Amino acid sequence: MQLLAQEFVLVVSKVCITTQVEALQNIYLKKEKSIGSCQAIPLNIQADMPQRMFFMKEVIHVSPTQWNRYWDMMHFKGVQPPHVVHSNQAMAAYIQKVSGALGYLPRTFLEPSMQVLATFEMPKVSP
Amino acid sequence: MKTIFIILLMLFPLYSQADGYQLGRGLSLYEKDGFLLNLGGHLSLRAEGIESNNPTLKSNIGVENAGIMLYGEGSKYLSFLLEYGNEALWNYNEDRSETNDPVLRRGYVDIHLDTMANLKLGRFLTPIGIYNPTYINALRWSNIRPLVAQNFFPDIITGAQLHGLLGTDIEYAIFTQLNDDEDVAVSHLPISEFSGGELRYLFGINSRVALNYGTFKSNTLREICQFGGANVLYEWGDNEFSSEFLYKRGKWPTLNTQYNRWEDLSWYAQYVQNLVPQQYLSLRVGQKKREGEGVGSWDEQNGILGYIYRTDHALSYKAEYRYFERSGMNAYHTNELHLSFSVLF
Repeated sequence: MQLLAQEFVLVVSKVCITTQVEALQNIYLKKEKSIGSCQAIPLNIQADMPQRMFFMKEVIHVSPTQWNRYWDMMHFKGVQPPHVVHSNQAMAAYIQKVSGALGYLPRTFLEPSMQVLATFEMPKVSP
Repeated sequence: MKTIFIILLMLFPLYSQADGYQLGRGLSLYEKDGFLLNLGGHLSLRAEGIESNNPTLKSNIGVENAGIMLYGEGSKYLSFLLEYGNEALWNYNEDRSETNDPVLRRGYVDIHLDTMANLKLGRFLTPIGIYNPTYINALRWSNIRPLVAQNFFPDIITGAQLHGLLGTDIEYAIFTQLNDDEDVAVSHLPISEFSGGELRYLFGINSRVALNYGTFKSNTLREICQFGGANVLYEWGDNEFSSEFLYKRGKWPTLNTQYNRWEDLSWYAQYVQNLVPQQYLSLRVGQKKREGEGVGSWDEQNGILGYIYRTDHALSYKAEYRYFERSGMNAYHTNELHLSFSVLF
């Protein structure tokens, strides 16, 4: 078994300006709804994907339990969690189509129209 | 409306099978390009066994709280929420059965002007404290409302609220009442002229420390009050500590232009530990006391030991023992066992 690094990037659609990585937690918690004049629409990939767990822990700095508890309270307050997509392809398509969409992808799914906000390396276990 | 409300609640098992439904997140009715409409709700069933030297307190069962929520976002500038339901919808003990009709508990629009400034207009939960903004059983570690949240300040207000984020970790909320809402069917306290606010420092997704202040009047209860306090919630590993403290000064004019005056003080401290996955232990102590001139004085204290089993983050079973003692005016004590099932759907 060998550990390999798989590079992930954080992207924002072509319309919006970039933001600081440190502000991402408030965007994903929907405390900040915009980046400059653009509506910020954060995206998550489905919960069982390893890049979702990596992103939540290393970038947003929350555990799954904290995340669920927070969004239970926010549901009661009338706020839904970030939209969930089921694949890297779906994430890329959403970011290209929807102005202000913000998500995380392997570099291989980048399109020229996407702005790269930050790059992270996620450990990947190969068989 | 009551019949429609009950039907919607009972249909929950049906629409929970629909595409777009998730427990604890509701049913997505529409979602596209940042516009969304969502249906959800909450339900709590409770049984209380009470041993007391106060003969008016009886063991009972009932629906502790229930509500149907419809909320949505129309654009980056506008969101709304409607909640129809109530607390103590049905309660039964050996002497009687009581019901409360469901009402419009919350109904507001939230206008997003900027991250630092959002304007909420309508009827909303008073944004003070840890307990009050998320009071339903499904979101709590305990079956029992802390003494600090029992009629210490109005729990619901119809008015305007300005709230937002200052920088990345300071939140604020300031509010003022825009009607004379002496309607006890909606709020625990019939009030008018209610205003106040809270300032919070956030140091984690759920962790915070806050200071608050408020003032209100109640012609029904004959009170003119000012209150202020602080609260803290801290999560670390499998542990959570929370505490709230409030001080209130009240007065009401008497016939000879003098005032009855009183001072209330209340606090609680709660610790919760995740023992093993899905299972939690909770401990809470609290006090609420009054010192009065022209009104009675009393001191209430309680201690609670609880067990929580969360089969899902939004579905839980709770069992608690509480010892309660009131000294001074109308003194009594209780030993209580509380059991509940609650769900956020």
